[in-house]
Amino acid sequence: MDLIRRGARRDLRVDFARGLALWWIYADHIPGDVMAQLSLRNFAMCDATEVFVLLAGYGAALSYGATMQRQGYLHAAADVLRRAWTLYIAHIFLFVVFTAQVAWSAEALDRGNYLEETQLDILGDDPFRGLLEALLLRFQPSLLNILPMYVVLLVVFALALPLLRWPRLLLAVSAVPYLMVRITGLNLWSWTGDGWFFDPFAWQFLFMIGAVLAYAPPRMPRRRWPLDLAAVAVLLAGAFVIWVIDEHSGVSDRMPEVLMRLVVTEDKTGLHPFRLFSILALVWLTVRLVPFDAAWLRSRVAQPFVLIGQNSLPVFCCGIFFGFVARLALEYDDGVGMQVLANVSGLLVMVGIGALAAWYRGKGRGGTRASGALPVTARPDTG
Amino acid sequence: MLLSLVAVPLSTRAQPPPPMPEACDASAEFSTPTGALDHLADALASGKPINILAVGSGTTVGETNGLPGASFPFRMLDALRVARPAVTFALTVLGGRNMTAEAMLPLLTQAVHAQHYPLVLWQTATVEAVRGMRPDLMQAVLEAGIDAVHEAGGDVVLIDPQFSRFLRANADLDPYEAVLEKLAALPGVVLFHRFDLMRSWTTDGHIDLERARKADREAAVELLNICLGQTLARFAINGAAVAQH
Repeated sequence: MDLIRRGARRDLRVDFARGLALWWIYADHIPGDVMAQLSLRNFAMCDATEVFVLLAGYGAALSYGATMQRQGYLHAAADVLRRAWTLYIAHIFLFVVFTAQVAWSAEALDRGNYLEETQLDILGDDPFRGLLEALLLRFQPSLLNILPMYVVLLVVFALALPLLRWPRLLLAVSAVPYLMVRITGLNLWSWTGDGWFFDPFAWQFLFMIGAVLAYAPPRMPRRRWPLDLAAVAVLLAGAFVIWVIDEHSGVSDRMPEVLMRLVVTEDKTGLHPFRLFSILALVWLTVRLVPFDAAWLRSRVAQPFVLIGQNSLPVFCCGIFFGFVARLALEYDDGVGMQVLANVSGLLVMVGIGALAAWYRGKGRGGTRASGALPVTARPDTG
Repeated sequence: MLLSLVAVPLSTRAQPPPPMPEACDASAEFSTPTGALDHLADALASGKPINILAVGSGTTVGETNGLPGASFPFRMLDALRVARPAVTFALTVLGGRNMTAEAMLPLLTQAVHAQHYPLVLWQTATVEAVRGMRPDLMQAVLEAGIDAVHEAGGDVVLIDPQFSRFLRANADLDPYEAVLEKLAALPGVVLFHRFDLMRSWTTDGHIDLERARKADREAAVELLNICLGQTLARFAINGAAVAQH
């Protein structure tokens, strides 16, 4: 049975990009991992989170949009909410694993007096409040802040589904909270009192852009070079800013302070417009440079990423889970050998989980049909 | 020490920094700031007494990994006095364990309004990272503090979290480190890479608090503060030297 789903309409570029984003998220989630030096955030003014959210919106619109067309809004919205519930449960599971890891790690290192500035061990400090806040998604330990946003995005999407038929209206409605965030700092409440790490009011805009790109793909403009130019300019500007901040090289001293201030105000919480334009520029250039049926997407190197991209929810969760193990491993020893082991085994685990999830899906459909030419829109694929 | 007292030069520029214990050896990049400390340079050139302000959480005030009066800012003061015996240095330390940058900001602004500090050390980001607080809000607070210091005629040395495997494995320091890196691109702001510096010492096997035996811990803590203080003193002097050329 072919584990990778193909079809005349299936865009393998999306699967590949999603797989790549999952791999980057894995590496970015392991502090001290050298592979994280190679992830998107080191070269562009956006990172794997933007790719992941945009393509989550894309996948959600393809799958639930089709359900809505076939079975009506209620069916589709119910499916979206069930997905949100699954994500919520997955998040709580990862939260439990995380707190266990912190406790084990503290014990193993006998940290004693070493780090008293920690409130990591919340189950030790304030267990009842901590658990309650975690269940309410108002307490999100660092590195466990993507899934809570995703849950909220799906709930919002369940409400916004009917607007998919009027993509311009959907984007206009979705832009309002985003602008509110940029102007007023609107955010959901968190236990720490300063709001969510990823502000759902802002990030839903990117999710909806992804949804519109899938459900009502805009026609390619006749004159494409202005957009090519703009996209390259945005990405070059991002790379320049990263270079100036990383390397200094005396460049920053020679730049006017007003400009430097503007450059450094970029924030991830509220999806700074620079980040938004960067991801859109990346999307445009990918569409321009990688043909829909590019042969390399079917190559051996690309296939593992396509596979994990097609099974993103289980792979994402397992990536976070295995990331905990890798973190403990690097905590013990962050030499070259352990780095290689953590990254190679991490990727293998993700590919393995992707294959397993694909096998389960195929099994549920009677096995042989998995390799057939079923239209992609017939399958839930939103993780 | 006696030799250096005898050989007090007319100019305070040429004096080399004091020799450091071997355990403090580290790559020169850690004592080389990426920008100039103009206000410190002016103050050194004027020959007048120099007030230094250190604001931070547990490790700065000596509540964590140190003793009040023996934390790394005090060790930096010792090193500066040896390196520039002709100059009078005074140190004020503010802050406390579990304090965020936001909680430190009023202390800092009040202090720089009350007295002239050509050099301000601001150690932060650990508490924010541990609590998973918003990096962009931390940045806004730090910018406000930096502005206050600049207006009062001082330079800012930001100091990042201490190295700890536990912290690295259980908190996500990267977004907060990125904020400090970004702010260090502003004029009059430099970043002292304490995390990487301490990691280099643990890699060399010189100082490793997390793996020190209980009996050796006290000595390790003392050595750490001495080494941090001495490297920081070199860092400051080098930053002032850049400004002079």
